[in-house]
Amino acid sequence: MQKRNYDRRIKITPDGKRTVVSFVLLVFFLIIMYLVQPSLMKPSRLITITNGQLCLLLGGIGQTLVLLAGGIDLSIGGVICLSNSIAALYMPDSIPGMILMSLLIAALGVGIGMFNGVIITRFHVQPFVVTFTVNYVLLGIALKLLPIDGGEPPARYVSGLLHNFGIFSLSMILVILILAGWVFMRRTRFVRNIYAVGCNAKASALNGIDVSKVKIMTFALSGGLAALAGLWRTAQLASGSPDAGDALTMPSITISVIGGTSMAGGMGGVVGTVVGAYILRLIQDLLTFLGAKSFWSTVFQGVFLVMTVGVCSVIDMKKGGKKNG
Amino acid sequence: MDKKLFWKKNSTTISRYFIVAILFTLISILKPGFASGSHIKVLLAEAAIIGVAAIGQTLVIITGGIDMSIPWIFNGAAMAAFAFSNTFTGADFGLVIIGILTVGFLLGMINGICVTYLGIPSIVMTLGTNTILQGAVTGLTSGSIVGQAPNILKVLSTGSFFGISVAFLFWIVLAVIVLLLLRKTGYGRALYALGNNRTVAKFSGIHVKRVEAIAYGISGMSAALAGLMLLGKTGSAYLGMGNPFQFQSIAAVALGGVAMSGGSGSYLGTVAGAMTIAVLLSVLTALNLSQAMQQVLYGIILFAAVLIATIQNSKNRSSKL
Amino acid sequence: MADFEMRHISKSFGNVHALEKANFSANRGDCMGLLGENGAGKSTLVKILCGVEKEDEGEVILFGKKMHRRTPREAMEEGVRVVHQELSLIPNGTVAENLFMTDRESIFGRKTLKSLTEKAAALFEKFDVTDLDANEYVSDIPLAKCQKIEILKALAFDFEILVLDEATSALTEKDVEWLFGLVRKLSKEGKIIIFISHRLQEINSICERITIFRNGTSVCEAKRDEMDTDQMVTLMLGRKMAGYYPERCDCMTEEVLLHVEDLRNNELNGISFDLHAGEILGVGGLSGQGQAALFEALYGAAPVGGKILIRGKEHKLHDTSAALKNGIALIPEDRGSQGLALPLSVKENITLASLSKIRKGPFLSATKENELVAEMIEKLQIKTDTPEVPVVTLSGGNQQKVVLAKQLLVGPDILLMYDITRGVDVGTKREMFNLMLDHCQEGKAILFFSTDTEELVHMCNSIYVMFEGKFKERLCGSAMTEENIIRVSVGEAAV
Repeated sequence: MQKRNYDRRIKITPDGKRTVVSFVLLVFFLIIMYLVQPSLMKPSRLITITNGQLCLLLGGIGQTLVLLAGGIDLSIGGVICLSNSIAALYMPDSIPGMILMSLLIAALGVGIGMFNGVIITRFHVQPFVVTFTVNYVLLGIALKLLPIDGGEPPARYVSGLLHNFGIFSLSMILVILILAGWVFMRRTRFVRNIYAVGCNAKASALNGIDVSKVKIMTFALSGGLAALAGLWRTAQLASGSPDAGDALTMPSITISVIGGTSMAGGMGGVVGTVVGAYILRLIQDLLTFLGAKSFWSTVFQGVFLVMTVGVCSVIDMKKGGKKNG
Repeated sequence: MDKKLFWKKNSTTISRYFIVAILFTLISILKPGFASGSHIKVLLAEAAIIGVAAIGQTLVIITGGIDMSIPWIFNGAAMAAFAFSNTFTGADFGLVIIGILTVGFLLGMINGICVTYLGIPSIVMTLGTNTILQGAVTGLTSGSIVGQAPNILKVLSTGSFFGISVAFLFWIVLAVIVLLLLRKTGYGRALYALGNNRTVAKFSGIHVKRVEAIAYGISGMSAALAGLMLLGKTGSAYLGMGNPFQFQSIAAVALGGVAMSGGSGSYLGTVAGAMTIAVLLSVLTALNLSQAMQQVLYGIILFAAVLIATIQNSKNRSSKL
Repeated sequence: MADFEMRHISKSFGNVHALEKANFSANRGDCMGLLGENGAGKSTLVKILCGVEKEDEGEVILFGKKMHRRTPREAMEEGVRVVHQELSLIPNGTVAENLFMTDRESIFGRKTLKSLTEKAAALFEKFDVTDLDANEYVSDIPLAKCQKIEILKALAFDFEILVLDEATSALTEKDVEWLFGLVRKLSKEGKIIIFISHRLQEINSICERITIFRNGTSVCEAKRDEMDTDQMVTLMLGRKMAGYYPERCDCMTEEVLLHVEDLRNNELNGISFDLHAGEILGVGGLSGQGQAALFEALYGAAPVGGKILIRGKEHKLHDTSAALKNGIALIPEDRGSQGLALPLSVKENITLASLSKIRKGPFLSATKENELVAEMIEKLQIKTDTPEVPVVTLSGGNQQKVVLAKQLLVGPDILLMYDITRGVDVGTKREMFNLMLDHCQEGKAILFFSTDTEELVHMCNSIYVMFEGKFKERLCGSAMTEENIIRVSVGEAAV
């Protein structure tokens, strides 16, 4: 008889188990949405939602990566605003120019993220203080460049990014690419190291992982993704705003946590974050449908953040408690 | 206590007063009128509001946390006082003030309880509370309310007493109370001990969670009080009036040389920090810089302050070890 | 010259010399046992070898070539693999992912789960592992198997030196057998194996040569069959300076201060004992056998099942303040992380646990505080210029006295002393011992854990030796010898 050293059945990963909850929530809200407003359940609606949420989604993915490695990035909103303002003002009207400009802006985001990471790891300052202050400066620079909402990105840029291919929009294709990219990346050494550092930085160092480097990389990625989010926002709004994007930092944490990412690091993943972005939108739509005024949506944002983080933290504490006696 | 030791222990705090003094002197030389009596009075009254808002922030940062919910507790308190000023006057308004301060304390305690007992990171919890209150205050007031700033608050913020602003005197009284709380009570001792090392505090029989939660409560109360002071100063309450104080309260603490990692620092340092901010604010406005440039400069100054405080504290520690 | 040599290695942490000109050598095909008491320098030696710590002095030579090991990764690349005492697995990865975590592939190199699983299966086949599933997630795997994964992780790549640092502590008997078979096979292949264990039996059955460490240096290197257990124990203990122990007093009475019944949690395996007034009850054994868990449980710092009766009355100790209120105080092991808030002053530290005593109205009374602090400084002879200096500026011994002062000021009936003499000079030790006796003469009691067996023998009325979460044996009277403590600690029987 052949000796079998592994079970061929598919197993759900511990991260997967956390993500399942977010899928269940998504289905739950979809059903409610269908019950209250069946007319909204059509493919074109998916395009609208995806176009609307892609900016938050990109920022949320960056946040997820940072959280996975045990940090937090409060500068996501600032990077989005800065990138949005630069793109709205200076995006040239030629294809190569657009590509070059976008690359420059993305590089700027990566640079800001790296700066965060280097300061945090080199001087042992808490991530939230550094990123909070950097965020403040970035918002100031954005305001300097673009004192009031405005700026006009070239029409070709806007229509190009918002282009639809039949029932698919570019944004949906991007989301699918992101998910596929993550599934591919998940098994690279780089991503495994992020998880390892978030789980136990000390043990990771013993295993020969350069903890500082991993942390800096997550902040750099987060900055880069936030810059991309700003580029998307420019197309989506066809204009720029020096401060509106700042409100995205908090939901970026919210969608990471609904998606199953632990604020303590090492647990969760990007798939959950993507689902989280859709859940958040569904709930907001529901609130609008129920006739809630906009300030209720603000209250809800806060309640939802605190509730999800609180529930996850209590569950994790209970689990940890069981293990540690 | 011998003198050398005194200097060594308080060098960080004292150096912050030197910074304010030097900054102030330099600017007075460059800009005549800056050092005039009336301007100093304005500066101190301004510093008083920042300083009061930063009382709780100092305590929370000593525990190693942070309170981001100051702006909307601040704003809510101002709005509430403004709205109630129509129906309550005189002594009754005193009850309103007590009520508002109590609500501020309770809101802070909710932060504290969630942070300590549920294990929610303080940054997330207080950001969440801030957003909730932002929505709630906006909703409850439907944008704008009609009222008037009650006289007692006007006197508190703009009155003067033998030529010294009442706000400043009030601040000094509060500062003394806070210093007594931190230095002369069991609570203060416990706060520093747990900020330094939670395990040691726990092993010394201190109710770590209770002490920590109360720090957040005090932060809520001081934020509400600062809101009332600003209401008195501007004469009306409006949405968003508390927003600058999120940044300023943290900056005052950091400029005061308090380590963001907790366990050290003194409210005296924060007082110097608040004065520094008042001076800087006034300079930046006088220089006719756009709000954007002000924000950039401001951010860079805070960044440098945090970095310097962190490096200073880690050096102090390693040289002692 | 031996194939692998560590020469004249010195390393100190602050004032503590962990290693002083220590030598260690081994040849290809050796399975070298490394023995020593706690704090003898074994783990520091391993840390230096694998690049976690940098030696102050000395050199490490492998096959005649000097090694650079600045980081753990570089050490791995030079062929050093260490199975650490603590587990370092990532719970949300599969067994296969964890096994190849230290892979040297490029940073964006991608391994599908399938390819990793196949690699793992090959590894399992090679080392004859049948009870692990490469696809299982580590979070679902029991602790005993985790250590096995940890061992396999080290075996997954080429190496010249394999260090097993207490790698058998959580393994089942069957897995220990498996490991021994493996070690024999590897040493036949010419690898160098360094084996550290607290079980003498294991060292006896697997190692051909042994090196014994004491006080930061190697004191003996010999063939295992040239020595018997008694000689090894004697060498581990060495001849220590004697004569500073106070005259034992016989003030133990029949009154039971503390009665403990069947304490259990995940580290304690059912512990029961009585502590009498005037008694010093010793707890021995190598560290990591549950002593810390026992002391923390009695101090209300960790949840525990079972009964705790203080002066005949049952108490549930939910937190440390409940323990202090009922007259139990702990002097913890680690001054820096458990005993003292280092940047705060001596005064503030001394009164930290008894703030209610110096309260006057809402404030702390400076007069009362200074009085009490001066009294404690006088009583314990703490050497400090003024009580206002940060406690971190004091020497180790004086710091330990401050911890003692802090807890004694509460006025406890029962003192739990956890290895309080570690890193403390002889003079201070003597003062502490005298204090312990004074404490007992007042009709109070002490539970005393020490890694220094000599102290236990000289100070205690009787000694329980802990082994794997249990009181393995109670030694009293003439059986209370250092040899017996060590014997029981390493799983042998007392004589």
